[in-house]
Amino acid sequence: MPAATVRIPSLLAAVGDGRREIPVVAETVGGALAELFARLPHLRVHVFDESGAVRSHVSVFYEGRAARDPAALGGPLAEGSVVTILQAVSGGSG
Amino acid sequence: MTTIGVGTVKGAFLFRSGSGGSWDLEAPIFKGWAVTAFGRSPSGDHLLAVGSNWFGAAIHRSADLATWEQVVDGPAWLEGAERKLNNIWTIAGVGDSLFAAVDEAGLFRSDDDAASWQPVAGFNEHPTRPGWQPGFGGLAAHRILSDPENPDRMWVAVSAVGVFRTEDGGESWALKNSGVTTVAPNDDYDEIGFCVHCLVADPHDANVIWRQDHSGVYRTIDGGDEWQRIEGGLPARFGFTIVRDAASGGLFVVPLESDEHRMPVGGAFQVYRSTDRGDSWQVSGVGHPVGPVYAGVLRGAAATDGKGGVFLGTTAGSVHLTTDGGDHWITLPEVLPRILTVSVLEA
Repeated sequence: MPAATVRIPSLLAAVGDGRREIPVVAETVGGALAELFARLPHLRVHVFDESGAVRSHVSVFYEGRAARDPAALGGPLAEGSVVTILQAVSGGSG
Repeated sequence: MTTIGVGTVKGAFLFRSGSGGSWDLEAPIFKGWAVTAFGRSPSGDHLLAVGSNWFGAAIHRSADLATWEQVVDGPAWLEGAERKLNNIWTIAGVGDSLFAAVDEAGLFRSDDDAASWQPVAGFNEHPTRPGWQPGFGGLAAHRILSDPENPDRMWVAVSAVGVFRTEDGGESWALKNSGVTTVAPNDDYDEIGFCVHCLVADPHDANVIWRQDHSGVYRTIDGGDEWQRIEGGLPARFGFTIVRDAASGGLFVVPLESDEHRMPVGGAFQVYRSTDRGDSWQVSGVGHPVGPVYAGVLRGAAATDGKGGVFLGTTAGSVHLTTDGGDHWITLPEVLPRILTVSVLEA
């Protein structure tokens, strides 16, 4: 399986072990997230909501594209791929 | 040394009492997260609830207020549920258990020192649940009281639904709001629609409870069966918080001009105190801000230390405090983000 990296925002790094980049080995974008949550299980609640979908003000990017729906989460990873979790510009309140 | 925890919309701030009455502010923790509640686990760990418009809510724990670890199996609605866990507004110890009250309104329980949390079905699936409607601040369960003599007796406040009481450890709950003016009448459920903002009980008699509601200030002496208005001397009946100093028995509220304006009357930020169990109210001592202040104190942003200390945080980020039961007040010089919760962490 490809070795990839998941980048997480500073708010999530701050409640984890401080790392912004977590190496994973996974076939798909969703697999990379599953690997992330296996290593840092407390992050899952911050990325997925109660419906099992990516939170409405959280973005997941892969290869420059948003990977929000199940089909995109199934997108294949290549060696050296980077999956980025971002806090969306929406959701702020000043 | 006394340590005060101040939870704001952008992190938590700890003030530690120093020599000569000074208060030293430490660097913020959980920067960027709203900090909505503090608590204590049965084993003595500090607990802290965070929330985020982006990343949802969670509980963290710490033995020393320095190193924190998130509780993985925290309060959460079941996956697939339509309810969202938006914020955790209070964490309360009841007997050997912990209870957390949350928005979207619900109650969760931990029996393993905060390691895991389960929904309290008797409350969360209450027969009136289909009629529950949010107030401006959301559909939030936010206050938990219990009877020290009998932990099976508890009270939970929900905006804008009302006060619930259980006599059987949370299996069943009855609405207890007789005498309180409803602000959100419901055609299908005439027992709900009471916008309770805050509760505080007499530690010596759990049946004596005071409440600051959207519609005014009330007291019960029979555990909530009947409530009476107690607003004599107040410049306005609206407000969010009410606390009681265990040392003096003094009650404290911060009246705000009407539910439409929600600011101190005439820009005069004044804490009001009752020394006769709510029968009458007067301006509490001296030392209130001289200039105009148009900020209020939210429901969780007041705390007491049991020995005359009363600590208030405002929506403008200022902290006002007394250490002599309300005779003298000071305003700390620091200005924080909007303050959501204040708690005495070490006394």
